Amino acid sequence: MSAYRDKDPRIHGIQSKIRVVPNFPKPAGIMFQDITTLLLDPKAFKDTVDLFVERYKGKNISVVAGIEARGFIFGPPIALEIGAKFVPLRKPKKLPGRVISEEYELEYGRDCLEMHLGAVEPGEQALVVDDLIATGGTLCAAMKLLERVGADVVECACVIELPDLKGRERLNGKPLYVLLESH
Amino acid sequence: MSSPDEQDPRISKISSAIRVIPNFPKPGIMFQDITTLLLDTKAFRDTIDLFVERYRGKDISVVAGIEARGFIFGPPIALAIGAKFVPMRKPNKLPGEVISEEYSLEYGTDKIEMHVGAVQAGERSLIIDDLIATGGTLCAAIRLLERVGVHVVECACVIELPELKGRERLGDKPLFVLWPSLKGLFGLHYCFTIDLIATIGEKTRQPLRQQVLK
Repeated sequence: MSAYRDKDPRIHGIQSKIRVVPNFPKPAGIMFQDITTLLLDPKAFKDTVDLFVERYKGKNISVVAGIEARGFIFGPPIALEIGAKFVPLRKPKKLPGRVISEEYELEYGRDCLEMHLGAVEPGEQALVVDDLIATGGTLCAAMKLLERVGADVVECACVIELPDLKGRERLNGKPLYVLLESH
Repeated sequence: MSSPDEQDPRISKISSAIRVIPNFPKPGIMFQDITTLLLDTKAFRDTIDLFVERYRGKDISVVAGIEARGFIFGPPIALAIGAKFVPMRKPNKLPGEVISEEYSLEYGTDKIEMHVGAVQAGERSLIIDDLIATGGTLCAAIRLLERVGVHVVECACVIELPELKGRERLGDKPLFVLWPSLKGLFGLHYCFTIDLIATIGEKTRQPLRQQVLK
């Protein structure tokens, strides 16, 4: 389900602020969806956060998990508005103290996502937030981390989806909410 | 005065929500972990409010946040005061054209980058990070903004480690912090005490919030 299809009047403004940068991070035809230009427009940035807050406020969500690093930009404003705690999910060795780790596959090789032990309690209802879903590998690892400690992942929420990369299917039936699609 | 009135009842709650982790990332370092603050919805809210109350209505159009923990505090402040948020990142993370500023580490150098065109000459800016230690990163951030003609009004952090003299490294740039960390000031004696408490805390497997050390 995406807000784009719902044609909320704020969506057009948000979409127009996202910049496409070709051949980043490497040449080979990747069209990088750059959300930093969205953050330069206070109204469009606020609308982005509001669209998520309107969806999740009052739904008994006590955890917003954000994926390093661009999930750290969108997650905390949402968490603050809906009264949830913010839990950063980080690359290896960034979080001090005791962590649990989840490995996941990249196109070439593997990577790892970590969460603090004790940050989330069993039975809590959680969102996972990132700027974009591509293949869904990172979001999948994030969901597994939360589920391993007994949290219930209510939904994954991203500003942008790249539907051609079929990330939505990789989420094992977990709902995904996005504001925009980019083909 | 560069810290808020110590009688503000919100400050002590914020400070007590911050966790000290000894020997991270290396032996001898007392790491100030703000992630426990983010688990306390009221204390996190209060942290943001204290900055917003200071900067609202001061004609600040840019909040620059230093990767990665500056990304957690910067955007909520930017949104509340109606400023844009500009991420300052490690090399090769920002797409498109960037400007870079190198700075010294204890051993070697590092670099931070900002997008060309994100800010305009004459804009008034804050720089946000969770913590100021030696001030090296903040200094590099100030230089990046000043190189493109931005006026850096103030640097703002949740925590300062005063013994590392970061404030002096900022020269004439004002620094505002919520908590001058007394935790670093007690030296070795405190290190051993914290280490013992942390070990006991781990062994009893208490939930994270209860492991907060004063």
